[in-house]
Amino acid sequence: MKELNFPFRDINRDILRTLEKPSIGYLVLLTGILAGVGVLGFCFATQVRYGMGVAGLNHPVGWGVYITDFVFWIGIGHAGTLISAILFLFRARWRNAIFRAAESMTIFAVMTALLFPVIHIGRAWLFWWLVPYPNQRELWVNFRSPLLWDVFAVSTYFSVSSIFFCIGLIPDIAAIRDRATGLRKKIYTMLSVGWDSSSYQWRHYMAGYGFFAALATPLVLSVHSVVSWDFAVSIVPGWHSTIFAPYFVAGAVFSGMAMVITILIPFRSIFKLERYLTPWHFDMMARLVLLTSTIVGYSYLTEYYIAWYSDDVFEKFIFWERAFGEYAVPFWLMIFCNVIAPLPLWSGKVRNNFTVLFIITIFVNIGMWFERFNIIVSSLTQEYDPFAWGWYTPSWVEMGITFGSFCWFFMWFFLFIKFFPSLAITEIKELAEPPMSGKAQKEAV
Amino acid sequence: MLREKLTENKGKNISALTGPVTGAVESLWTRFVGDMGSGQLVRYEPYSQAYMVKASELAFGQAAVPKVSLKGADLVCSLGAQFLETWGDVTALAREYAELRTVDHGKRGVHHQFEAKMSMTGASADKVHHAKPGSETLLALALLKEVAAASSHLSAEEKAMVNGMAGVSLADAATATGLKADDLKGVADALAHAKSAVVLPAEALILGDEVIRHHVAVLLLNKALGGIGKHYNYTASKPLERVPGHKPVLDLVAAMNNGQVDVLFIKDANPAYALPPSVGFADALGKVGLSVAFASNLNETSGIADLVIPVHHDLEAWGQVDTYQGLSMLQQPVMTPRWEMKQAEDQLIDLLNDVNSAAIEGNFQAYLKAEWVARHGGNWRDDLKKGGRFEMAESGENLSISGNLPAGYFSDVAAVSAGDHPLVLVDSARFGDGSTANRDWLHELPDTMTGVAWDSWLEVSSHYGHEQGLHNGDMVELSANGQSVKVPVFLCQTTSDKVMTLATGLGQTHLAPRHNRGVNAFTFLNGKLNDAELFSAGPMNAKISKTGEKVKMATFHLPGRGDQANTALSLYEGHDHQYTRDLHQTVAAASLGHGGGHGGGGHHEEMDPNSWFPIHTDKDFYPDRTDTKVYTDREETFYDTYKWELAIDLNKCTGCGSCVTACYAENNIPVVGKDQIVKGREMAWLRINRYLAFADDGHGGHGDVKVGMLPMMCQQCANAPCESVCPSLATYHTKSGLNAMVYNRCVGTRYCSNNCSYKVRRFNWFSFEYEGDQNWQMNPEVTVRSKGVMEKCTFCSHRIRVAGDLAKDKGGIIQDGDVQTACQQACPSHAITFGNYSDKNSEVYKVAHDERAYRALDSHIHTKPGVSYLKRVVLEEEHHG
Repeated sequence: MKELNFPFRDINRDILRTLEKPSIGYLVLLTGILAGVGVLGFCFATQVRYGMGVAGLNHPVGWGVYITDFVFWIGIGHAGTLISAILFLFRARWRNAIFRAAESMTIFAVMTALLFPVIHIGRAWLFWWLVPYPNQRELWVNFRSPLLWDVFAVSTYFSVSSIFFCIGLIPDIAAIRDRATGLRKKIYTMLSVGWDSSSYQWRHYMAGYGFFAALATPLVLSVHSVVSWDFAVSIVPGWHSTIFAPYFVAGAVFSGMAMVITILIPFRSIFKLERYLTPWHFDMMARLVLLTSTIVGYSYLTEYYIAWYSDDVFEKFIFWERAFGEYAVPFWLMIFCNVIAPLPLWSGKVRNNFTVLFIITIFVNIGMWFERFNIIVSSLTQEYDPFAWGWYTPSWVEMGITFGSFCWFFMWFFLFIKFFPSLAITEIKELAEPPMSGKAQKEAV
Repeated sequence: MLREKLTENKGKNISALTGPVTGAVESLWTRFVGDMGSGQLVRYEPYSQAYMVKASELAFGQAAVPKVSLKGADLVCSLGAQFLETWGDVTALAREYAELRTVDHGKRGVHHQFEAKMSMTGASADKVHHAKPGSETLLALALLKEVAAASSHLSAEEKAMVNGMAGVSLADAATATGLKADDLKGVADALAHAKSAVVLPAEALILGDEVIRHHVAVLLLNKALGGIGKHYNYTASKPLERVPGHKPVLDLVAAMNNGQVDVLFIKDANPAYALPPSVGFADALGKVGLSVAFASNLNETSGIADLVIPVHHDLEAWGQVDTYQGLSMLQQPVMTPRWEMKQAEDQLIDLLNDVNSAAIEGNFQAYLKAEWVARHGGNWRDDLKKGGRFEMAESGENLSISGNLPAGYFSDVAAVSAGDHPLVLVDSARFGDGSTANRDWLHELPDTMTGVAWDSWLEVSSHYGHEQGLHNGDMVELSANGQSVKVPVFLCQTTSDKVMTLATGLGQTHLAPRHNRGVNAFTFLNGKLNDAELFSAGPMNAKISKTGEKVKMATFHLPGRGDQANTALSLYEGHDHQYTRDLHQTVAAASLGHGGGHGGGGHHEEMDPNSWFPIHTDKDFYPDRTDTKVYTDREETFYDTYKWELAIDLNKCTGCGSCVTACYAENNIPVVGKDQIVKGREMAWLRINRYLAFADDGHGGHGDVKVGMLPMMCQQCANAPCESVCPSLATYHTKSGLNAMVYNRCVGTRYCSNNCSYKVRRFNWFSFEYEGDQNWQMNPEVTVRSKGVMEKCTFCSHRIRVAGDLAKDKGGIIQDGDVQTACQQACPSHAITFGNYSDKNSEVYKVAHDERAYRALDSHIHTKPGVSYLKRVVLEEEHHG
């Protein structure tokens, strides 16, 4: 705790500094990112215009990079709510400094993930047919389909985490409002919904916050479980497995935490927030990455064990092929990135070395993307009928959309850090010495 | 202008070049050239059976092509004839062949095939003998010697005569063919002991200058086996005048070159494509005063004619086709003419009337009727209704060997040697003489043995290909006979090292751009006529050299990247049998007749471990719950009057692919083209799965290869994996047992296809547009799908609907046989049965309860498919462990 050493009165100034007039570097980056979003739009428009055939998908591989991206981004979207809700309930103090950034990342990751169900369907303009509501067409949806469960799981997760996120923002918006002038003042006044920091409001606020944290907690576990059932409920060898729900949740936390670290390391140094985001925070997050890495590694082994134990020809075959067949390279890449690369994190020195930590988390991000790719693609290529086997290579459209999805994600993140405090002012204040305490007075003198 | 020219040239040489026209069509053309001047009618077809006429004349004094039939045979031994694809009357032969394979009291007919490149016909055989090309005549003579010695069907005189001529020993034949003498002895014994054996000749195209002698030998062999009259029927034969050879067309070209032909009419013949290049037809055509082509599409010949007169397509025209004696068929239009034009014969009548004042009354329809009535009497309407006269003699006379054969007729027969890896041209069931190369459906249909669509390829054995460092799709320069072409190679595991093959029929230059592909194998034909006065090739010394170029080949066997190895199975050489995974099952003939089978319910039967495709003995991951009450009860209550099911007899299926194309035609399935097939996006609702199994040769290599064909379409599972995962309820189970597909409701998640264990669902990756006249090929009963929706086989549900409506009008229900699926209708060997499984008396119910019946994958994943397969019956002595 000794690293946390900042005076109470600096907090507002330091954190709200991120909202100041953007630098040239920021604008250049943002322009690049917007261009990337343009790539996404162009690729998607091409696909709508000509058909799904512009993607590399084929028969028998009906799902490829799009669903990989979907699961990847949903996974990224796990860390935020985990940190803000579960760790809040456990009163883990190290969450206070990082949860806002992580939570915003969650929202934007889910917003990115939500693109993919629309992008990947053959008739994207009819995606709303997947939503059950009484309509004059007298059409209804199939509640037996895991894809429909997805619709519910992801939309519930998105609405609850957005509300949770917005509620957490209110006191901070009020803090901005107090310093803002002109039009900004008006807007922030509106957004702060009459927050005056009275004890009365705080009492209700804390109760409500706790309530939402409790509500969001099961969703962290449920959403990726449901996503995993897209695969587990099917009878595709390599998908049909009961281990998928915990395996996917662990993987999601793994990739989510890694992404938080990946983003916060440069963020911390660019905005000079070293006082608030300390090695201690990163140490804690790295431990969580390490823990989930071992769970994921264990799951890989379990899958192989089950395949062998089942003695099912199809199951045994697909797991053999996954490691030594056409898609061996992504497989071993996944093993390296997710199981081997995080091993140095056992050392405290490594956890405190930001360069190494940054590199490891990049590996984890890559590895987790390929994990989903492996599960989806290698299982579909070689199913029951050998005559119907076939390989899949992504096309430029899928690559473009994947690239564009990263840009879309960072676009929101970049805009967010310029308009809202990306560290929770009020909760960081909880960590500092109160302004009227003796210690704080002494420091002020 | 044509009329002026004709008037100008009246009385001069006005000739005509047509396809093998017969009957009233021929008589009109003959009259036309006769009346107009001094020209003549020349008929030409690239694949002519004229050799059979000459051979028959020598052997039996009959200048005719016999009707060959396998009816009643218990052994068929083909020395190379691809009688299920290209040789003879393939549809009839396939039907008779299916009968031959039918098991009766643990026995069925046997099929030996001699060929270096395993054809689809060979794939059906019990034993393929990879004989070196060029040895066919020696082989026939050696067999003749063995069989004649023990024959009871030859008179003493005949026996002496045959013995005197056939001086080739089995050992000689073994050397020439590269086979074991014991194997040949085995075949000869089998022939001698068979109740009714048929020997079929080799494909004429590869016989070079030995065509006549080979066929004489084969005819004598059949005589010795007692098959003349029974299997080679000369009473119902094609007379000489119906099988034009190639000499007339060569004479015509000579006349053209000499400037003797003033006007040449061409119809239904494409000599500029199919004649050997050294004949120089194109140049000769330039020397004709005026060349006029009647055509419904441009090809290499009509494309260079001076004048092209568009005429009706055969579907819009009248005609007559006479083949065997007693078989005379009428052709009447099946559609209103699409454009305002006439059929070629109407044009002829007009020209005769205008230029020659012939005063023929009425059009060709009237002319045809008059001719028909004059020949067959007054019942024109009846004949038209029936489609013609079908009065062929069932069997013929057992002719004796004629005295025309000189004593030393076979004395100097020798094997044709053309190096270790000769090039051989083969006929193609899809393209043959090239006249069908403008058809998308045929291009899209993969070659059964290689799975290649939309291309020509040089087929070499995998072994030889690897030795030469070749890979699939490597462009090579192929030179033989002084000609050379660039063609991609395809490494094939079913072909032997003894040969390289190139199929005829592609390589056009004047069709639509997408149809001008591949190489023209006729380029390699000799410019000289052979002994049967035909252009032929024979085994050729060929040289191949790599060009360094590489093309992607569209092969169905492992799509995705298009340049994969031959099949998925070949990636795991030595372990192939594991990879059929019970989908294709076989059973030994002798083990039949003791009950068993899945009883119609989907039981998994332990198989004979000695069959070609041994099952794994691993325990099932999914317990068989077929008899669990909750399942059986559900089935009984769920289905109402109908539960539609299909059954396919794998013992009859030859893998020809007729059903596949029938399905394209019936269901408006889009043709996606080569680029999309390379990516694995063909749309076929029904495909032929082809599996290979290799016997161990004892030296770590391959022995015999066995081929399994499995038509695979939507299995209409009762526990369908696809139904439960569709989020928008676009696919669901109907009360009549169909796995219905509502295109309008589909948003295209493709989850159903991922979850389909049989991979029979097809996704519309694009909207496939039909332009102009292409819309005429659409079946109005079936929706044309657009991009983004899933589609698949629903057992021709539109036909079921029509039959249901008709039955309702009569106040009943659909009876067995009222509905036929398109694939069932097209199957030449009647391997497919369709009907209502709820009706215990239906054919499909009976077939599903056959002891050979099984349901694919059902024992593993309990999908309860609505399609039963009957195991292919193998012979005991053919077992591979």
